[in-house]
Amino acid sequence: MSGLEVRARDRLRELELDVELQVDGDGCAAIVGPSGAGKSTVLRIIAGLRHPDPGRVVMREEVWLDSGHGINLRPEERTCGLMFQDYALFPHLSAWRNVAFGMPGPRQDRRGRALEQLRRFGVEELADARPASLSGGERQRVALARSLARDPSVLLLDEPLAALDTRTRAHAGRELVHALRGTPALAIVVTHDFSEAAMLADEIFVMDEGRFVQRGTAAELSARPASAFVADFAGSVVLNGTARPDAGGLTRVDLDGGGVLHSTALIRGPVAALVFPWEISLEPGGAAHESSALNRLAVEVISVTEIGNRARIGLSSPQPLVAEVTVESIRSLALRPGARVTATWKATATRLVER
Amino acid sequence: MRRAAFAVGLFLALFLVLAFLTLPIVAIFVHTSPGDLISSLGEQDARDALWLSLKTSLAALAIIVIVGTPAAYLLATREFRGRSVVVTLIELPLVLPPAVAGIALLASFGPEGLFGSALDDAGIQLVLQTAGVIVALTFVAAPFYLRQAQEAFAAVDRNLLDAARTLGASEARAFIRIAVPSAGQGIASGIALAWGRALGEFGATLMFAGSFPGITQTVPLAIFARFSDDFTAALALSGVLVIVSAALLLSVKVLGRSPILGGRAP
Repeated sequence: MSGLEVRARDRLRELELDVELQVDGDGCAAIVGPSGAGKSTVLRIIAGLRHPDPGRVVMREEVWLDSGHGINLRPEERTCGLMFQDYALFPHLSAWRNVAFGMPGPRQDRRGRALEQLRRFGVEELADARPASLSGGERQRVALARSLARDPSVLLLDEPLAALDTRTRAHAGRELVHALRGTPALAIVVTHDFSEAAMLADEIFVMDEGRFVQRGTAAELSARPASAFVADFAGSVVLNGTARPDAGGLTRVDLDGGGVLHSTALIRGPVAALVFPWEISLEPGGAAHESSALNRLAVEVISVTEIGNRARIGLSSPQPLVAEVTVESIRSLALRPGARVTATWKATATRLVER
Repeated sequence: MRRAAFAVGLFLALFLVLAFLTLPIVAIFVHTSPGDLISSLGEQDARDALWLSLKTSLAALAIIVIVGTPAAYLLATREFRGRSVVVTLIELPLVLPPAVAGIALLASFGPEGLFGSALDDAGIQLVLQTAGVIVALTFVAAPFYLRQAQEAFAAVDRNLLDAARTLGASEARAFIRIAVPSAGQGIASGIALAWGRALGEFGATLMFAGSFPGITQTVPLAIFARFSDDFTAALALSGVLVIVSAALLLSVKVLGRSPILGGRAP
């Protein structure tokens, strides 16, 4: 089944937007990137709230926008649901009236159908409440119910979890995954959080400065990032340096600011060396012993952040890097800001991309 | 010590403002017994003036709201060349002295005015007619409403309007169902201001429509007509106008807070 196809060039203040996007089937795709990359604008173009020229939007063989042929369907003519970042619930209408607002069909059975829609998301009992009296999580469910009330063929979600506090977010995220699987609509989620994109979407488009820089599954983007930007976004440590051939068929990377790495990747010139934080082990400073880990960097501890039973250790080599260790290691290695340790990892865990 | 002095200064300023603005109104009622108020309503002329004021101000208000609301929405939500010029021109009557407004109306809609003969051909008489009062009131009161409504519309979250569009609403439906209720409080206060201005209108009405009891003599004109020979009667009628205006403005404000107009309970 053919899905959604978008091509657009547009100018936004400082940003030159130039995107081409093709999503097949009826799954969920994510557009991920830093704020100001133009992600929300892509959604607005699909929804018909922005009219780029040149621009083309085709949804399942239905042309919504074709600037070359003067076709431009109005937002209300596109079968497209859009959930705004702040949810944009109508403050003067109760929850069920918010949901019923977009419902087609006879007036008299709108309430019944709106209630049914609210029940799908477990907020039926809030039908008569005004948005101002709802919690963040409840608002999100009402907004989701509303954006699906017209049975859209494509559902656009702009930072669906950003307005929630961290405690609600994990739960709401799991529910959202469930809800998106349950709808026949093709979903496109915009987020600045790679892990959120990985959780919600089958396919991820990484966006930077108005362009898509790479597409792939979360695993592909993590394992084979096309650039240091993507790698950084996908959670890798990124160290800049210059690569040249070394003994034993390995590649030697002289890091900017000092330090040497080895990698099994075979490229030359200015590179970004990538390594996952959980591949990095920490040893007491100055300890010399045999290990298969070829890469050994003297580093200084900058920060220690516990996350459950593990901890993210911010390090300076002097280039910044991050290691993930168990909470137990914090004590045994006496990790605290200012402590000097050695970061080690294998050459095989070191990926290189051209800069 | 300094902070206490500052706080005292603030309270003193508020006290002065309050005293200066309310004492003259209190004075009206000190000089007028409730009996005077009621007996002043017994006069046919006074009742005519009150009825005329109500009728003409409501008619002007209806014109202002029906034409002004979409105009204010356009000014608030669309960018176009010359927009700020248009806004300034619309606000001009705010700063015109009433006498100038009266002359301006005569020069445009009077018998010798710019559109005088065209109106005459169409069989429309404005000068010295009740319709003329409505024109004068509309002219002076409209900018008050337009300003408030424009500000209220500009403050409406654009995402709400966009959300309405993606939910299948046409631009017109988004305007009526979402923009107007969301701007409800601002619109209500604009109505209150414009109505207050229309009820108190004096100069432009006098010059353009004259002061004929039952036809163009609104309450402010009736008060002025009485003031030279019967100060007590003028005072009593003033008291009535204060009460009526206060009641109208208060009810509009209360309505603006009600959920029907999108207001939230405090």
